[in-house]
Amino acid sequence: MATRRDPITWFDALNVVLLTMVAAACLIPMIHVTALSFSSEGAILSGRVSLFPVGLQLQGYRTVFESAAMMRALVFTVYLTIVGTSVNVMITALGAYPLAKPDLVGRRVIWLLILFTMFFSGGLIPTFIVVRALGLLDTVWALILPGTIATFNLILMKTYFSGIPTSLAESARMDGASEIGILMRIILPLSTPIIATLTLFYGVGHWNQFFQALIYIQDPDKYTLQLRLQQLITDGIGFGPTVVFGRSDDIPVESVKAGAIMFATAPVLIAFPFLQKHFVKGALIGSLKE
Amino acid sequence: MLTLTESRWRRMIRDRHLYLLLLPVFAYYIVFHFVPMYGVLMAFTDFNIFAGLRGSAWVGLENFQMMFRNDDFFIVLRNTVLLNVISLLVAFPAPLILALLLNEVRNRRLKRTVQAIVYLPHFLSWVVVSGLIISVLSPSSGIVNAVIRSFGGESVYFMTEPAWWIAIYQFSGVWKDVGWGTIIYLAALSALDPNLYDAAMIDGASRWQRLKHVTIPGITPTILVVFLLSVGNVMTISFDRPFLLGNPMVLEVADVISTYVYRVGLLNVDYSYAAAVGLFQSVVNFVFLLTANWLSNRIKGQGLF
Repeated sequence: MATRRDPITWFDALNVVLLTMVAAACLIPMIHVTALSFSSEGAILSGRVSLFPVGLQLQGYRTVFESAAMMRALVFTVYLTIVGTSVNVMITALGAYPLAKPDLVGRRVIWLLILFTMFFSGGLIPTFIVVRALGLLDTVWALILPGTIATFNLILMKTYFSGIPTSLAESARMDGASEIGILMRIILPLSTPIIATLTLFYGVGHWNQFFQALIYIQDPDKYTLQLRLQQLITDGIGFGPTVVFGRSDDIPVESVKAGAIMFATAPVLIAFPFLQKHFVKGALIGSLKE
Repeated sequence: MLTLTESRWRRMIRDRHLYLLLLPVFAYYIVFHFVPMYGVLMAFTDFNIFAGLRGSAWVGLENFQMMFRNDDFFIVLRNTVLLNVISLLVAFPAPLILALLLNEVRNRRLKRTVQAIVYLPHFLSWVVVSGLIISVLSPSSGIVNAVIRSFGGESVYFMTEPAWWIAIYQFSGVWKDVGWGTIIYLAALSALDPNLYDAAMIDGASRWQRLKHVTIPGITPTILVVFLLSVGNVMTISFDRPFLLGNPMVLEVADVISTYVYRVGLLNVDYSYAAAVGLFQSVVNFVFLLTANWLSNRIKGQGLF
């Protein structure tokens, strides 16, 4: 690390230039696609759009917002994100609280079995068969239950709970509070930072959910936004727009694709300041070994 | 001994409500982790989905023999390992270098701004990232080819040339996660003892010497852990990235174990064979991770987990 006593050298100048270029490289794809989404089809196809819109138009976004398929995917994804994240956080807390208690009988064995699932899994096909056998295919629960607890998040929450002084829970227990009462009224109110972190971890996961939707959902009414987006932009030979919008002749395909990408990304960009703050904290807790 | 077991029982009875709270957690791990682990036995049967595991005919290692006789399997195995090994050379050092550069920045505000920007791509889905990349690299409308043309070059078909595709696959991973990967190193860097730097300064060590003799040795354990975890996962490959960036023109390099299991198992409905491929991957991966952990123990006396 440089200190005040170190002379400023050519390296410092080069470093600033390098890091600025890295930051620019992170932003340019997003700026380019935003510019495409506002540009006329002619300008896009002739390769004249770089970082600013050329031949400004809003037809691309209008097509996205007027599309019943996209709106249904949006509503379903919002619903999935809210319900899914609530279930995730609740069940993770139910696991973390007893397992953070040092003298719980069987704690070690339970914990080892849980950690084992991080390193060995039955794989895609047996899991699919289980989800199918439970009758979850084509329901929102197929997108929630198989990932109820991310073990990594369970570790984060357990670590956090372990840091809360046990005397608080003890005195409540003396007063005759039940375990669930202690969890709800004492532990959780003291745990808002970890709850915020996990809510965002799980929330972004649901918002970005693609693979589970691809394998578990056939009913177009239950497509997630990412699945619709994939259909629209990477579905091979350009049938995407016809599938999603039911027509393709009168829509500006290229700016619609760009608009749909930004449409699915905007909420993440809006939430980013919060994400940044809490995610980094979570990642740091996670990197400390237990 | 009797009193010990008695007190265990008493503790269990005292904590009965805690076990009650754990019930949904047990249910989750049993149903969605341990039942599939048992269900993987289907790899040894000619699985019939209507008859279930017990109603299906046992065929022993037939599915595995089929797998090892299948050229497609070796192609996806090669692609999986190849993409991961290149990642080890490219995506593993990238966050380390970025973290060291960030650590040398004098201006705090610049450092924080760059950090915030490079974290951003981590939160985008692979669908969005592949959409961005395909747009940016489009031969007709993409900004990269516009720059190439403005220098008098010809448009490059990045996504359909196998060699270019591998490069783009690597680049996209670095683009999405290089910033995120710096977090663990920056945490390790901020935990280094400032006294070491002071002592080095008194001895007249230059910035470069301090980097070489204080900083790098100080974060070597962290580097090692990250490296061994990547090595341990050399057989694991996510589904989203190769599937979403891939296309029929580059299938010879883009088809990997995850996309193969999906295609054979769920699209062609060959459950037993796909489960066998999945089991092969799980077992190899497990052995690799245990080996990595053992190595970590040997080298620095501390396991990964």
